[in-house]
Amino acid sequence: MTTLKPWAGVAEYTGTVNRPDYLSELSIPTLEKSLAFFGQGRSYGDVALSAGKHCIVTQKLNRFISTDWEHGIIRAESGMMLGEILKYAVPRGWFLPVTPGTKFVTLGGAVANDIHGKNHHQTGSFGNFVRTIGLRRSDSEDVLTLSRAENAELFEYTISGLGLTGFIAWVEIELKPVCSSYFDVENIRFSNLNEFFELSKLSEDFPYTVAWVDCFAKGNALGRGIFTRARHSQEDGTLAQLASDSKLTLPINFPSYAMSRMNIKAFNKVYMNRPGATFKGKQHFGKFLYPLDGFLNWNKLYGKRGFYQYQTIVPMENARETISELLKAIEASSLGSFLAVLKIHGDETSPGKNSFPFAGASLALDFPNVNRKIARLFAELDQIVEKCGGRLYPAKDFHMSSSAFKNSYPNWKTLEELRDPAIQTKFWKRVTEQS
Amino acid sequence: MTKNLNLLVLGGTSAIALSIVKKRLDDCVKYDRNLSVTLVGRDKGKLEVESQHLQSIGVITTMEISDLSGFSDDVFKSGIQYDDVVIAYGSLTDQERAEGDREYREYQIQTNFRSTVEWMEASVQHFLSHGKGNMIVLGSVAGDRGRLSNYIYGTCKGAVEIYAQGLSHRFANKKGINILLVKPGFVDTPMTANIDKKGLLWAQPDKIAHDVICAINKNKRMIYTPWFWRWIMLIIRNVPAFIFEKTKL
Repeated sequence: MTTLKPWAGVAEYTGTVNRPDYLSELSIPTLEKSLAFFGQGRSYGDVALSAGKHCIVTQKLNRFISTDWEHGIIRAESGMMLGEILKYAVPRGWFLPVTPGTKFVTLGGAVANDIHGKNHHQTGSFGNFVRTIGLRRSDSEDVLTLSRAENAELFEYTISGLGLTGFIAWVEIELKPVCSSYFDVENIRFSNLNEFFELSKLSEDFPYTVAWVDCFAKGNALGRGIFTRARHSQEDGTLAQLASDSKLTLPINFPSYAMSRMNIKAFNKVYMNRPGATFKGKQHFGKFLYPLDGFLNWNKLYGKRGFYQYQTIVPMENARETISELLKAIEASSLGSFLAVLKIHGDETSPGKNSFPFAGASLALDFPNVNRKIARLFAELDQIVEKCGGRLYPAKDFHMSSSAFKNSYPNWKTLEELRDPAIQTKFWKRVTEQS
Repeated sequence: MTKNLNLLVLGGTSAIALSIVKKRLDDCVKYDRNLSVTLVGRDKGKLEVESQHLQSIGVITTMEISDLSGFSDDVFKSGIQYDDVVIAYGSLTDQERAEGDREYREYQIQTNFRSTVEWMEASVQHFLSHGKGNMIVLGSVAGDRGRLSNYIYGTCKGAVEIYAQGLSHRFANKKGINILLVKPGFVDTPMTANIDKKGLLWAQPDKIAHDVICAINKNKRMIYTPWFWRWIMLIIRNVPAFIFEKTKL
């Protein structure tokens, strides 16, 4: 019996864990609803946790199968981490077309959650760059090849399929060319939500945009923060420079009061006024894209009881009002934390049928799991999101109700039909079997 | 561009050996050298998977399908001059079975000790003919003291260590030839796939490889890795027998 705990430390799985070393050694149990696949445990809640007693961990399936460095096309086993791809791709002039805020996610997880990044408004989600997927289902030893042309429906439902359609054995993606490992980055302070939306509008042609928000600001300052926009640097000759792998590890869980309102308020004030808040210049991709990866285990900041992340996306029309309503509710609850991220998304172009993003504004916040008031706040936020036709991100979720999920992800029924009968996750059980 | 670095890996699917290859590659990239690796092992399918991966990240690879427990020096006849030889193959002995099954026991001793001796001697000959080389031999903390739960495996590993010590002594005045015996503690590898890995004592192959490269650069003869095993084994070796024999270790 082994216990697996995803990133936020609130959900867990206990049962058998199998960690195959080679794809050829993988055996998939056929027992109904017994199994799920787990990568690096970087999803936050229960999306990768088996509802049965079997779990296959893909961490050791982390090899390249073929690479065409001339055209930037790579095929790798599903347990390969995105950071590992960057390690070998960047010196050869290639970059991930889409990356989340951590490089420690696996390819399989990136596909299953159809992850997005700071460039979503221009490029769409990860699935957009997936060429083929090797999928093994429990009824056969063969690996099916999925693509836009071959097994197209299964392809569309495996991308954003939350790992339910079968075992993702390998993934082939196309990379994008870069000539530098640096970004030209610009940080701009904004003093309220209106300014954020203006800045977003003005920065549409920047490939990477994101904003940090001070969720304790109120009144006229509601939604103030720091806007970041960036492009790949055009300067030649810096491809081989790898970021210094700073590896600060938090050895212990912090006490729960570390994330108290007073501490965060003080932190936010300092963060907003530090010189970096108006930084303009070059930043290595490691520092720009993965600022938190320097602190391995930053999740331990939230203490033993972990935390919840609330990540929602709301449609563009009324986005300003909705985000403002959400921030007001959060401020009034005084439960927020310092990790609050706001971003404008573009139209979704990924073939995934259950992908989280659409054209709109997304807001992501962490909440330490210390207080019963969280349930009340989440209920309030859920109402606001539901009213405007928004939705929550399964990869981060551990509270969404069944009805909210079913209403906001209308393709869920087809995914349920395509689900491999041997697979069931705690997330899927929670949002589809319970009413 | 300087000369290629050539590596011979005996046990081409060994997670520790493959991590050593990747560390060597990082260095080669830094100094603009090419890295060539010959992977030797029994399982063709797995070797192909590893070889594909290494090729993808920029290593030039050759494969040699061979049962390492039977020794054959063909791989030294290819004309390649190896800079490093990594002896990483082995079999984690099932102690109970080895006690009762003579054939199995002999096979284990053949794999983990006798054949290793032949590979060590052949490597030494190879190094002598070229004037230099590093030999990296994987031993084990199990070789430090005979224990009821794994003394057959432990004997082999202990014997390999003494052999490596002898070789180190033999080449003590010969610059350029180094023999490093590596004693890893518990490592999360295919060899230990059936053991439940709980607790702080388990290390990743990457960590072992890092320590090995540091040790080679310092011309060390023997290392424990991770470092704390040195102190754990100091205690284990020195516990009086009347206490030690009360344990089930």
